Amino acid sequence: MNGESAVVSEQAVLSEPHPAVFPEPDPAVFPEPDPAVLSEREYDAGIRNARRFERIMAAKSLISFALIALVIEIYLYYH
Amino acid sequence: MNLASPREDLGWVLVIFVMIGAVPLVTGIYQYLLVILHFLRLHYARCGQWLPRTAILIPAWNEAAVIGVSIDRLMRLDYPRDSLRVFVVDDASTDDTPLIVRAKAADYPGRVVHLRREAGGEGKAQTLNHGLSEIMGDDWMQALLIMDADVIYERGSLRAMTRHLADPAVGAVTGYIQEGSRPGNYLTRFISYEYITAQAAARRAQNVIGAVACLAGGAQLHSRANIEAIGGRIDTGTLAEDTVITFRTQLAGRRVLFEPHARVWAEEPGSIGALWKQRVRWARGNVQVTCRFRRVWFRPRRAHRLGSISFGAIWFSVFLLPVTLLVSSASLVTLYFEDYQLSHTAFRGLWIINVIAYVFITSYTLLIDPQAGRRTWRQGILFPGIVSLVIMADVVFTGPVQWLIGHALVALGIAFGHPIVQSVILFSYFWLSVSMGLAYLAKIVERDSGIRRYLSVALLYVAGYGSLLCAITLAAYVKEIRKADSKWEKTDKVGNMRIPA
Repeated sequence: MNGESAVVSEQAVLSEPHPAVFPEPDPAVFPEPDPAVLSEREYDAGIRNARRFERIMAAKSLISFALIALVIEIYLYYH
Repeated sequence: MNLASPREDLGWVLVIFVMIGAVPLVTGIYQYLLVILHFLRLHYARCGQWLPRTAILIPAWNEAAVIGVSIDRLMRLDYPRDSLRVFVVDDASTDDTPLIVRAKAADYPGRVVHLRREAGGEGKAQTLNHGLSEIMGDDWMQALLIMDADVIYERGSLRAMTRHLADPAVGAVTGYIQEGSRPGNYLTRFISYEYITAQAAARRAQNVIGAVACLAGGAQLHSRANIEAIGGRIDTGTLAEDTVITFRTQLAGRRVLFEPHARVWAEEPGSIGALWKQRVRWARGNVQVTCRFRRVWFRPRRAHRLGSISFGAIWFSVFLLPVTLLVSSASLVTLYFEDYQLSHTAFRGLWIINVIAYVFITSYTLLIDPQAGRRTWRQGILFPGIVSLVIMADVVFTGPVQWLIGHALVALGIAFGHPIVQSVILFSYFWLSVSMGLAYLAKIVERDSGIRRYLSVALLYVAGYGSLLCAITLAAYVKEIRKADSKWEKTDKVGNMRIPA
Protein backbone atom coordinates (compact mmCIF):
# COMPACT_ATOMS: atom_id res chain seq x y z
CA MET A 1 0.00 0.00 0.00
CA ASN A 2 1.50 3.32 -1.01
CA GLY A 3 0.95 6.62 0.79
CA GLU A 4 -1.60 7.99 -1.70
CA SER A 5 -4.03 5.10 -1.34
CA ALA A 6 -3.75 5.32 2.42
CA VAL A 7 -4.90 8.97 2.30
CA VAL A 8 -7.79 8.12 -0.03
CA SER A 9 -9.03 5.32 2.15
CA GLU A 10 -8.83 7.51 5.27
CA GLN A 11 -10.88 10.24 3.54
CA ALA A 12 -13.44 7.63 2.52
CA VAL A 13 -13.85 6.54 6.10
CA LEU A 14 -14.20 10.12 7.35
CA SER A 15 -16.68 11.27 4.70
CA GLU A 16 -18.86 8.16 4.69
CA PRO A 17 -19.22 6.90 8.21
CA HIS A 18 -20.38 3.33 8.32
CA PRO A 19 -23.12 2.65 10.83
CA ALA A 20 -21.07 -0.09 12.29
CA VAL A 21 -18.08 2.24 12.75
CA PHE A 22 -20.10 5.26 14.03
CA PRO A 23 -23.25 3.83 15.63
CA GLU A 24 -26.06 6.08 16.83
CA PRO A 25 -25.35 6.90 20.48
CA ASP A 26 -27.35 4.86 22.92
CA PRO A 27 -29.53 7.44 24.76
CA ALA A 28 -29.12 5.52 27.96
CA VAL A 29 -25.34 5.69 27.79
CA PHE A 30 -25.00 9.03 25.99
CA PRO A 31 -28.05 11.13 26.96
CA GLU A 32 -28.81 14.09 24.72
CA PRO A 33 -26.96 17.01 26.26
CA ASP A 34 -29.40 19.42 27.84
CA PRO A 35 -28.38 22.96 26.88
CA ALA A 36 -29.75 24.19 30.15
CA VAL A 37 -27.24 22.37 32.27
CA LEU A 38 -23.99 24.27 32.28
CA SER A 39 -20.66 22.77 33.07
CA GLU A 40 -19.11 24.05 36.24
CA ARG A 41 -16.61 25.97 34.12
CA GLU A 42 -19.36 27.70 32.09
CA TYR A 43 -21.28 28.56 35.24
CA ASP A 44 -18.18 30.05 36.85
CA ALA A 45 -17.47 32.00 33.66
CA GLY A 46 -20.98 33.49 33.80
CA ILE A 47 -20.47 34.64 37.38
CA ARG A 48 -17.00 35.96 36.54
CA ASN A 49 -18.39 37.97 33.61
CA ALA A 50 -21.13 39.45 35.77
CA ARG A 51 -18.60 40.47 38.42
CA ARG A 52 -16.33 42.01 35.79
CA PHE A 53 -19.25 43.95 34.28
CA GLU A 54 -20.07 45.43 37.68
CA ARG A 55 -16.45 46.43 38.32
CA ILE A 56 -16.16 48.08 34.90
CA MET A 57 -19.44 49.90 35.52
CA ALA A 58 -18.09 51.27 38.79
CA ALA A 59 -14.93 52.43 37.02
CA LYS A 60 -17.01 54.24 34.40
CA SER A 61 -18.30 56.55 37.12
CA LEU A 62 -14.92 58.32 36.91
CA ILE A 63 -16.08 59.74 33.58
CA SER A 64 -19.14 61.21 35.27
CA PHE A 65 -17.05 62.66 38.08
CA ALA A 66 -14.74 64.21 35.49
CA LEU A 67 -17.73 65.84 33.81
CA ILE A 68 -18.92 67.27 37.13
CA ALA A 69 -15.45 68.65 37.76
CA LEU A 70 -15.54 70.28 34.34
CA VAL A 71 -18.94 71.86 35.00
CA ILE A 72 -17.78 73.21 38.37
CA GLU A 73 -14.63 74.54 36.71
CA ILE A 74 -16.72 76.38 34.11
CA TYR A 75 -19.07 77.70 36.79
CA LEU A 76 -16.20 79.02 38.87
CA TYR A 77 -14.58 80.57 35.81
CA TYR A 78 -17.67 82.66 35.09
CA HIS A 79 -18.24 83.66 38.72
CA MET B 1 -26.20 92.49 69.33
CA ASN B 2 -27.74 92.36 65.87
CA LEU B 3 -31.19 90.89 65.74
CA ALA B 4 -32.57 89.95 62.35
CA SER B 5 -35.81 91.66 61.51
CA PRO B 6 -38.94 89.51 61.04
CA ARG B 7 -38.70 90.29 57.34
CA GLU B 8 -35.14 88.91 57.18
CA ASP B 9 -36.22 85.82 59.15
CA LEU B 10 -39.01 85.26 56.67
CA GLY B 11 -36.48 85.54 53.86
CA TRP B 12 -34.29 82.81 55.28
CA VAL B 13 -37.28 80.57 56.03
CA LEU B 14 -38.27 80.95 52.38
CA VAL B 15 -34.73 80.05 51.31
CA ILE B 16 -35.02 76.82 53.30
CA PHE B 17 -38.33 76.06 51.56
CA VAL B 18 -36.71 76.80 48.19
CA MET B 19 -33.94 74.35 48.98
CA ILE B 20 -36.52 71.61 49.68
CA GLY B 21 -36.55 71.37 45.90
CA ALA B 22 -32.92 70.23 46.07
CA VAL B 23 -33.66 67.28 48.39
CA PRO B 24 -34.73 64.88 45.60
CA LEU B 25 -31.66 65.94 43.61
CA VAL B 26 -29.28 65.23 46.47
CA THR B 27 -31.03 61.91 47.08
CA GLY B 28 -30.69 61.10 43.39
CA ILE B 29 -26.94 61.76 43.57
CA TYR B 30 -26.71 59.62 46.72
CA GLN B 31 -28.56 56.81 44.96
CA TYR B 32 -26.13 56.90 42.05
CA LEU B 33 -23.15 56.88 44.42
CA LEU B 34 -24.60 53.64 45.84
CA VAL B 35 -24.74 52.23 42.31
CA ILE B 36 -20.97 52.63 42.10
CA LEU B 37 -20.63 50.47 45.21
CA HIS B 38 -22.73 47.66 43.77
CA PHE B 39 -19.68 45.62 42.78
CA LEU B 40 -18.80 45.36 46.48
CA ARG B 41 -22.20 43.96 47.49
CA LEU B 42 -22.80 41.21 44.94
CA HIS B 43 -24.63 38.09 46.01
CA TYR B 44 -22.80 35.71 43.67
CA ALA B 45 -20.67 34.13 46.43
CA ARG B 46 -23.86 32.60 47.84
CA CYS B 47 -25.28 31.57 44.47
CA GLY B 48 -25.29 28.05 43.10
CA GLN B 49 -26.21 26.37 39.87
CA TRP B 50 -29.70 25.50 41.08
CA LEU B 51 -32.44 24.85 38.55
CA PRO B 52 -35.61 24.39 40.58
CA ARG B 53 -38.87 23.08 39.09
CA THR B 54 -40.33 26.41 38.06
CA ALA B 55 -43.95 27.25 37.43
CA ILE B 56 -44.40 30.31 35.24
CA LEU B 57 -47.62 32.15 35.96
CA ILE B 58 -48.96 34.48 33.27
CA PRO B 59 -52.16 36.47 33.78
CA ALA B 60 -53.76 37.10 30.38
CA TRP B 61 -56.72 39.27 29.57
CA ASN B 62 -57.15 39.73 25.82
CA GLU B 63 -53.47 39.16 25.07
CA ALA B 64 -53.87 37.46 21.67
CA ALA B 65 -51.36 39.83 20.07
CA VAL B 66 -48.51 38.81 22.37
CA ILE B 67 -49.16 35.60 24.28
CA GLY B 68 -48.16 33.16 21.53
CA VAL B 69 -44.71 34.64 21.01
CA SER B 70 -44.14 34.88 24.76
CA ILE B 71 -44.89 31.17 25.26
CA ASP B 72 -42.68 30.18 22.31
CA ARG B 73 -39.81 32.17 23.77
CA LEU B 74 -40.30 30.59 27.20
CA MET B 75 -40.08 27.16 25.60
CA ARG B 76 -36.66 28.12 24.21
CA LEU B 77 -35.19 29.21 27.53
CA ASP B 78 -31.90 27.65 28.59
CA TYR B 79 -33.59 25.63 31.26
CA PRO B 80 -34.28 21.90 31.75
CA ARG B 81 -37.45 21.12 29.85
CA ASP B 82 -38.86 18.90 32.58
CA SER B 83 -38.41 21.65 35.15
CA LEU B 84 -40.54 24.27 33.44
CA ARG B 85 -44.31 24.57 33.25
CA VAL B 86 -46.23 27.57 31.97
CA PHE B 87 -49.65 28.32 33.48
CA VAL B 88 -51.63 30.91 31.53
CA VAL B 89 -54.60 32.24 33.46
CA ASP B 90 -57.00 33.43 30.80
CA ASP B 91 -59.08 36.05 32.58
CA ALA B 92 -62.30 35.62 30.59
CA SER B 93 -60.65 36.95 27.44
CA THR B 94 -62.98 37.81 24.59
CA ASP B 95 -60.34 37.75 21.85
CA ASP B 96 -58.33 34.79 20.49
CA THR B 97 -56.29 34.34 23.68
CA PRO B 98 -57.94 31.02 24.68
CA LEU B 99 -57.52 29.60 21.15
CA ILE B 100 -53.86 30.55 21.03
CA VAL B 101 -53.09 29.21 24.50
CA ARG B 102 -54.91 25.94 23.78
CA ALA B 103 -52.91 25.59 20.55
CA LYS B 104 -49.68 26.16 22.48
CA ALA B 105 -50.78 23.60 25.08
CA ALA B 106 -51.15 21.12 22.21
CA ASP B 107 -47.76 22.10 20.76
CA TYR B 108 -46.03 21.68 24.13
CA PRO B 109 -47.96 18.91 25.88
CA GLY B 110 -47.56 18.84 29.63
CA ARG B 111 -45.55 22.07 29.59
CA VAL B 112 -48.23 24.66 28.87
CA VAL B 113 -51.44 24.72 30.91
CA HIS B 114 -54.50 26.80 30.03
CA LEU B 115 -56.57 27.93 33.01
CA ARG B 116 -59.77 29.76 32.23
CA ARG B 117 -61.66 32.18 34.48
CA GLU B 118 -65.20 32.55 33.23
CA ALA B 119 -65.95 35.63 35.34
CA GLY B 120 -62.96 37.90 34.86
CA GLY B 121 -62.01 41.56 34.82
CA GLU B 122 -61.52 41.82 38.60
CA GLY B 123 -57.85 42.66 38.31
CA LYS B 124 -54.40 41.19 37.97
CA ALA B 125 -54.09 40.04 41.60
CA GLN B 126 -57.31 38.02 41.44
CA THR B 127 -56.19 36.45 38.17
CA LEU B 128 -52.83 35.51 39.68
CA ASN B 129 -54.55 33.96 42.70
CA HIS B 130 -56.62 31.73 40.42
CA GLY B 131 -53.42 30.30 38.95
CA LEU B 132 -51.66 30.21 42.28
CA SER B 133 -54.34 28.01 43.86
CA GLU B 134 -53.83 25.54 41.01
CA ILE B 135 -50.02 25.61 41.22
CA MET B 136 -49.92 25.30 45.01
CA GLY B 137 -52.28 22.32 44.80
CA ASP B 138 -49.36 19.90 44.56
CA ASP B 139 -45.72 20.00 45.54
CA TRP B 140 -44.24 20.02 42.00
CA MET B 141 -43.41 23.73 42.05
CA GLN B 142 -40.17 24.72 43.78
CA ALA B 143 -40.04 28.23 42.36
CA LEU B 144 -42.68 30.55 40.92
CA LEU B 145 -42.04 33.05 38.15
CA ILE B 146 -44.74 35.69 37.78
CA MET B 147 -44.61 37.59 34.50
CA ASP B 148 -46.75 39.62 32.11
CA ALA B 149 -48.09 38.22 28.87
CA ASP B 150 -46.08 40.57 26.68
CA VAL B 151 -42.71 40.04 28.34
CA ILE B 152 -39.94 38.33 26.40
CA TYR B 153 -37.13 36.60 28.28
CA GLU B 154 -33.60 36.31 26.98
CA ARG B 155 -32.46 32.68 26.93
CA GLY B 156 -30.32 32.73 30.03
CA SER B 157 -32.43 35.13 32.12
CA LEU B 158 -34.40 32.63 34.18
CA ARG B 159 -31.27 30.70 35.08
CA ALA B 160 -29.55 33.93 36.05
CA MET B 161 -32.38 34.50 38.51
CA THR B 162 -32.75 30.97 39.93
CA ARG B 163 -29.06 30.81 40.91
CA HIS B 164 -29.81 33.27 43.74
CA LEU B 165 -32.49 30.99 45.18
CA ALA B 166 -29.73 28.50 46.04
CA ASP B 167 -29.36 30.76 49.09
CA PRO B 168 -32.37 29.99 51.34
CA ALA B 169 -32.18 33.51 52.79
CA VAL B 170 -33.36 34.86 49.42
CA GLY B 171 -37.13 34.89 48.99
CA ALA B 172 -37.46 36.54 45.61
CA VAL B 173 -35.44 37.83 42.67
CA THR B 174 -36.37 40.32 39.99
CA GLY B 175 -34.83 40.92 36.58
CA TYR B 176 -33.94 43.94 34.47
CA ILE B 177 -37.02 44.96 32.48
CA GLN B 178 -36.08 46.77 29.31
CA GLU B 179 -38.26 48.66 26.91
CA GLY B 180 -38.57 46.56 23.76
CA SER B 181 -41.16 48.34 21.56
CA ARG B 182 -40.05 48.44 17.94
CA PRO B 183 -39.98 50.50 15.84
CA GLY B 184 -40.95 52.61 18.82
CA ASN B 185 -41.20 56.39 18.95
CA TYR B 186 -39.91 59.34 20.93
CA LEU B 187 -42.00 58.35 23.97
CA THR B 188 -40.84 54.72 24.10
CA ARG B 189 -37.26 56.00 23.89
CA PHE B 190 -37.96 58.26 26.89
CA ILE B 191 -39.32 55.20 28.70
CA SER B 192 -36.27 53.20 27.66
CA TYR B 193 -33.99 55.83 29.20
CA GLU B 194 -36.20 56.03 32.28
CA TYR B 195 -35.88 52.25 32.74
CA ILE B 196 -32.09 52.50 32.86
CA THR B 197 -32.44 54.97 35.73
CA ALA B 198 -35.37 53.31 37.48
CA GLN B 199 -34.24 49.72 37.06
CA ALA B 200 -30.60 49.24 36.12
CA ALA B 201 -29.46 52.05 38.41
CA ALA B 202 -32.05 52.42 41.17
CA ARG B 203 -32.37 48.70 41.82
CA ARG B 204 -28.62 48.25 42.01
CA ALA B 205 -28.65 50.98 44.66
CA GLN B 206 -31.41 49.10 46.47
CA ASN B 207 -29.29 45.92 46.35
CA VAL B 208 -26.56 47.87 48.10
CA ILE B 209 -28.95 49.17 50.76
CA GLY B 210 -30.39 45.66 51.18
CA ALA B 211 -34.01 46.63 50.53
CA VAL B 212 -35.74 46.44 47.15
CA ALA B 213 -38.74 48.67 46.51
CA CYS B 214 -40.54 46.58 43.94
CA LEU B 215 -40.28 43.25 42.18
CA ALA B 216 -41.08 44.05 38.56
CA GLY B 217 -44.50 42.69 37.66
CA GLY B 218 -43.03 41.25 34.48
CA ALA B 219 -40.17 39.35 36.12
CA GLN B 220 -40.52 38.22 39.70
CA LEU B 221 -39.19 34.87 40.82
CA HIS B 222 -40.18 33.51 44.24
CA SER B 223 -39.10 30.47 46.14
CA ARG B 224 -41.93 28.18 47.18
CA ALA B 225 -41.02 28.81 50.81
CA ASN B 226 -41.54 32.52 50.24
CA ILE B 227 -44.94 32.11 48.64
CA GLU B 228 -46.02 29.86 51.51
CA ALA B 229 -44.65 32.31 54.11
CA ILE B 230 -46.78 35.15 52.76
CA GLY B 231 -49.91 33.04 52.80
CA GLY B 232 -49.86 31.53 49.32
CA ARG B 233 -51.87 34.37 47.86
CA ILE B 234 -51.35 37.72 46.18
CA ASP B 235 -52.72 40.76 47.99
CA THR B 236 -55.84 42.15 46.32
CA GLY B 237 -56.24 45.29 48.43
CA THR B 238 -54.16 47.71 46.38
CA LEU B 239 -53.30 48.61 42.79
CA ALA B 240 -49.64 47.68 43.44
CA GLU B 241 -49.76 43.97 44.20
CA ASP B 242 -46.13 43.56 43.09
CA THR B 243 -44.89 46.20 45.57
CA VAL B 244 -46.98 44.71 48.37
CA ILE B 245 -45.53 41.22 47.78
CA THR B 246 -42.03 42.76 47.72
CA PHE B 247 -42.58 44.43 51.08
CA ARG B 248 -44.21 41.38 52.65
CA THR B 249 -41.33 39.17 51.52
CA GLN B 250 -38.79 41.45 53.18
CA LEU B 251 -40.89 42.02 56.30
CA ALA B 252 -41.05 38.23 56.67
CA GLY B 253 -37.25 38.27 56.90
CA ARG B 254 -36.32 37.08 53.40
CA ARG B 255 -34.09 38.98 51.03
CA VAL B 256 -35.22 40.37 47.72
CA LEU B 257 -32.59 40.81 45.04
CA PHE B 258 -32.27 42.53 41.71
CA GLU B 259 -30.32 40.54 39.11
CA PRO B 260 -29.17 43.06 36.47
CA HIS B 261 -27.98 40.34 34.10
CA ALA B 262 -31.40 38.71 33.80
CA ARG B 263 -32.73 40.81 30.94
CA VAL B 264 -36.34 40.74 29.87
CA TRP B 265 -38.09 42.91 27.31
CA ALA B 266 -41.50 44.51 27.53
CA GLU B 267 -43.68 46.51 25.19
CA GLU B 268 -44.37 50.01 26.51
CA PRO B 269 -47.08 52.59 25.78
CA GLY B 270 -46.53 54.65 22.64
CA SER B 271 -48.80 57.56 23.57
CA ILE B 272 -48.90 59.96 26.49
CA GLY B 273 -52.53 58.99 27.14
CA ALA B 274 -51.73 55.28 27.49
CA LEU B 275 -48.64 56.03 29.58
CA TRP B 276 -50.69 58.34 31.81
CA LYS B 277 -53.27 55.59 32.45
CA GLN B 278 -50.59 53.01 33.28
CA ARG B 279 -48.51 55.27 35.48
CA VAL B 280 -51.43 56.78 37.40
CA ARG B 281 -52.31 53.20 38.35
CA TRP B 282 -48.73 52.58 39.48
CA ALA B 283 -48.53 55.89 41.36
CA ARG B 284 -51.87 55.30 43.09
CA GLY B 285 -50.57 51.89 44.08
CA ASN B 286 -47.52 53.58 45.61
CA VAL B 287 -49.72 55.99 47.56
CA GLN B 288 -51.66 53.00 48.91
CA VAL B 289 -48.45 51.13 49.77
CA THR B 290 -46.98 54.20 51.50
CA CYS B 291 -50.06 54.46 53.73
CA ARG B 292 -50.38 50.74 54.31
CA PHE B 293 -46.78 50.31 55.48
CA ARG B 294 -46.71 53.59 57.41
CA ARG B 295 -45.23 51.84 60.48
CA VAL B 296 -42.23 50.67 58.43
CA TRP B 297 -40.73 53.98 57.31
CA PHE B 298 -37.62 55.32 59.04
CA ARG B 299 -37.72 52.64 61.73
CA PRO B 300 -34.57 50.56 61.30
CA ARG B 301 -34.93 46.88 62.21
CA ARG B 302 -32.52 43.96 62.29
CA ALA B 303 -34.84 41.71 60.31
CA HIS B 304 -35.10 43.90 57.21
CA ARG B 305 -33.77 47.12 55.70
CA LEU B 306 -37.06 48.64 54.60
CA GLY B 307 -36.99 50.89 57.65
CA SER B 308 -33.50 52.21 56.97
CA ILE B 309 -32.98 55.95 56.58
CA SER B 310 -31.43 55.45 53.12
CA PHE B 311 -34.35 53.47 51.77
CA GLY B 312 -36.93 55.82 53.28
CA ALA B 313 -35.14 58.87 51.87
CA ILE B 314 -35.05 57.39 48.36
CA TRP B 315 -38.69 56.23 48.53
CA PHE B 316 -40.04 59.56 49.75
CA SER B 317 -37.87 61.67 47.47
CA VAL B 318 -39.69 60.04 44.56
CA PHE B 319 -43.07 59.84 46.26
CA LEU B 320 -43.07 63.51 47.32
CA LEU B 321 -41.30 64.91 44.27
CA PRO B 322 -44.26 66.97 42.98
CA VAL B 323 -44.81 68.45 46.44
CA THR B 324 -41.17 69.48 46.79
CA LEU B 325 -41.25 71.13 43.36
CA LEU B 326 -44.45 73.03 44.16
CA VAL B 327 -43.16 74.19 47.56
CA SER B 328 -39.79 75.18 46.13
CA SER B 329 -41.09 77.23 43.23
CA ALA B 330 -43.88 78.87 45.27
CA SER B 331 -41.28 79.88 47.87
CA LEU B 332 -39.01 81.31 45.19
CA VAL B 333 -41.81 83.47 43.81
CA THR B 334 -42.71 84.69 47.30
CA LEU B 335 -39.06 85.44 48.01
CA TYR B 336 -38.86 87.42 44.76
CA PHE B 337 -41.38 89.89 46.16
CA GLU B 338 -39.78 89.88 49.63
CA ASP B 339 -36.09 90.11 48.81
CA TYR B 340 -35.09 90.01 45.16
CA GLN B 341 -31.36 89.62 45.76
CA LEU B 342 -31.86 86.71 48.14
CA SER B 343 -34.30 85.08 45.71
CA HIS B 344 -31.68 85.38 42.96
CA THR B 345 -29.04 83.70 45.17
CA ALA B 346 -31.45 80.91 46.21
CA PHE B 347 -32.47 80.34 42.58
CA ARG B 348 -28.84 80.02 41.49
CA GLY B 349 -28.06 77.70 44.42
CA LEU B 350 -31.00 75.44 43.61
CA TRP B 351 -30.13 75.24 39.95
CA ILE B 352 -26.42 74.62 40.38
CA ILE B 353 -27.36 71.54 42.43
CA ASN B 354 -29.73 70.71 39.59
CA VAL B 355 -26.87 70.97 37.08
CA ILE B 356 -24.56 68.72 39.11
CA ALA B 357 -27.31 66.10 39.54
CA TYR B 358 -28.20 66.29 35.86
CA VAL B 359 -24.62 65.91 34.60
CA PHE B 360 -23.80 63.08 37.01
CA ILE B 361 -27.04 61.11 36.62
CA THR B 362 -27.40 61.54 32.85
CA SER B 363 -23.80 60.68 31.99
CA TYR B 364 -23.67 57.69 34.34
CA THR B 365 -27.07 56.41 33.20
CA LEU B 366 -25.88 56.33 29.60
CA LEU B 367 -22.73 54.48 30.70
CA ILE B 368 -24.56 51.88 32.80
CA ASP B 369 -26.38 50.44 29.81
CA PRO B 370 -24.51 51.56 26.69
CA GLN B 371 -26.73 49.47 24.39
CA ALA B 372 -29.92 51.24 25.48
CA GLY B 373 -27.96 54.46 25.91
CA ARG B 374 -26.98 54.56 22.24
CA ARG B 375 -30.65 54.47 21.31
CA THR B 376 -31.88 56.94 23.88
CA TRP B 377 -29.11 59.48 24.50
CA ARG B 378 -31.13 62.31 22.92
CA GLN B 379 -34.05 61.61 25.24
CA GLY B 380 -31.60 61.32 28.14
CA ILE B 381 -30.19 64.77 27.46
CA LEU B 382 -33.67 66.26 26.95
CA PHE B 383 -35.17 64.42 29.94
CA PRO B 384 -35.52 67.61 32.09
CA GLY B 385 -37.01 69.57 29.16
CA ILE B 386 -35.70 72.38 26.99
CA VAL B 387 -36.60 75.22 29.37
CA SER B 388 -34.79 73.54 32.27
CA LEU B 389 -31.75 73.04 30.05
CA VAL B 390 -31.77 76.74 29.15
CA ILE B 391 -31.92 77.68 32.84
CA MET B 392 -29.06 75.28 33.59
CA ALA B 393 -27.01 76.77 30.75
CA ASP B 394 -27.67 80.24 32.18
CA VAL B 395 -26.49 79.14 35.62
CA VAL B 396 -23.26 77.54 34.39
CA PHE B 397 -22.36 79.92 31.55
CA THR B 398 -23.52 83.01 33.40
CA GLY B 399 -21.02 85.39 31.81
CA PRO B 400 -21.71 84.68 28.13
CA VAL B 401 -25.47 84.27 28.68
CA GLN B 402 -25.76 87.53 30.62
CA TRP B 403 -23.70 89.27 27.95
CA LEU B 404 -26.04 87.97 25.26
CA ILE B 405 -29.16 88.93 27.20
CA GLY B 406 -27.77 92.37 27.99
CA HIS B 407 -26.98 93.08 24.34
CA ALA B 408 -30.36 91.75 23.24
CA LEU B 409 -32.14 94.03 25.73
CA VAL B 410 -30.14 97.04 24.57
CA ALA B 411 -30.90 96.19 20.93
CA LEU B 412 -34.59 95.95 21.76
CA GLY B 413 -34.51 99.09 23.85
CA ILE B 414 -35.75 97.31 26.96
CA ALA B 415 -34.51 98.24 30.42
CA PHE B 416 -33.77 95.54 33.02
CA GLY B 417 -36.66 96.74 35.17
CA HIS B 418 -39.13 96.40 32.30
CA PRO B 419 -42.18 94.24 33.12
CA ILE B 420 -41.28 91.80 30.32
CA VAL B 421 -37.89 91.09 31.87
CA GLN B 422 -39.39 90.72 35.33
CA SER B 423 -42.06 88.39 33.93
CA VAL B 424 -39.39 86.17 32.40
CA ILE B 425 -37.55 86.04 35.73
CA LEU B 426 -40.77 85.17 37.58
CA PHE B 427 -41.56 82.54 34.95
CA SER B 428 -38.16 80.87 35.47
CA TYR B 429 -38.72 80.94 39.24
CA PHE B 430 -42.08 79.26 38.87
CA TRP B 431 -40.92 76.89 36.13
CA LEU B 432 -40.69 73.77 38.31
CA SER B 433 -44.44 73.96 38.85
CA VAL B 434 -45.36 75.31 35.43
CA SER B 435 -43.54 72.42 33.74
CA MET B 436 -45.94 69.91 35.31
CA GLY B 437 -48.90 71.85 33.95
CA LEU B 438 -47.31 71.99 30.52
CA ALA B 439 -46.68 68.23 30.57
CA TYR B 440 -50.34 67.72 31.47
CA LEU B 441 -51.27 69.96 28.55
CA ALA B 442 -49.21 67.69 26.28
CA LYS B 443 -51.46 64.83 27.35
CA ILE B 444 -54.63 66.88 26.81
CA VAL B 445 -53.80 68.01 23.27
CA GLU B 446 -52.41 64.66 22.13
CA ARG B 447 -54.04 63.04 19.09
CA ASP B 448 -52.99 60.13 16.90
CA SER B 449 -52.11 62.38 13.97
CA GLY B 450 -52.22 65.94 12.70
CA ILE B 451 -51.00 69.19 14.18
CA ARG B 452 -52.13 68.33 17.70
CA ARG B 453 -49.84 65.32 17.74
CA TYR B 454 -46.86 67.51 16.83
CA LEU B 455 -47.95 70.11 19.38
CA SER B 456 -48.11 67.42 22.05
CA VAL B 457 -44.61 66.17 21.22
CA ALA B 458 -43.27 69.74 21.24
CA LEU B 459 -44.88 70.47 24.60
CA LEU B 460 -43.38 67.33 26.12
CA TYR B 461 -39.89 68.20 24.91
CA VAL B 462 -40.28 71.73 26.29
CA ALA B 463 -41.69 70.60 29.65
CA GLY B 464 -39.57 67.45 29.98
CA TYR B 465 -40.42 63.80 30.50
CA GLY B 466 -39.48 64.13 34.18
CA SER B 467 -42.18 66.79 34.57
CA LEU B 468 -44.69 64.43 32.97
CA LEU B 469 -43.88 61.78 35.59
CA CYS B 470 -44.32 64.40 38.34
CA ALA B 471 -47.66 65.47 36.89
CA ILE B 472 -48.77 61.84 36.86
CA THR B 473 -47.81 61.41 40.51
CA LEU B 474 -49.75 64.58 41.34
CA ALA B 475 -52.79 63.22 39.48
CA ALA B 476 -52.49 60.00 41.49
CA TYR B 477 -52.52 61.99 44.76
CA VAL B 478 -55.66 63.79 43.65
CA LYS B 479 -57.40 60.55 42.67
CA GLU B 480 -56.51 58.93 45.98
CA ILE B 481 -57.65 61.97 47.98
CA ARG B 482 -60.93 61.99 46.05
CA LYS B 483 -61.14 58.21 46.59
CA ALA B 484 -61.70 57.73 42.89
CA ASP B 485 -62.66 54.29 41.60
CA SER B 486 -59.55 52.09 41.73
CA LYS B 487 -60.58 49.74 38.99
CA TRP B 488 -57.62 47.86 37.49
CA GLU B 489 -57.14 49.15 33.96
CA LYS B 490 -55.02 47.07 31.63
CA THR B 491 -52.33 48.59 29.43
CA ASP B 492 -53.04 47.59 25.84
CA LYS B 493 -50.25 45.70 24.07
CA VAL B 494 -50.14 45.12 20.32
CA GLY B 495 -47.06 42.92 19.97
CA ASN B 496 -44.69 45.45 18.36
CA MET B 497 -41.68 44.05 20.14
CA ARG B 498 -38.01 43.72 19.55
CA ILE B 499 -37.11 40.13 20.17
CA PRO B 500 -33.44 39.90 21.05
CA ALA B 501 -31.44 37.20 19.28
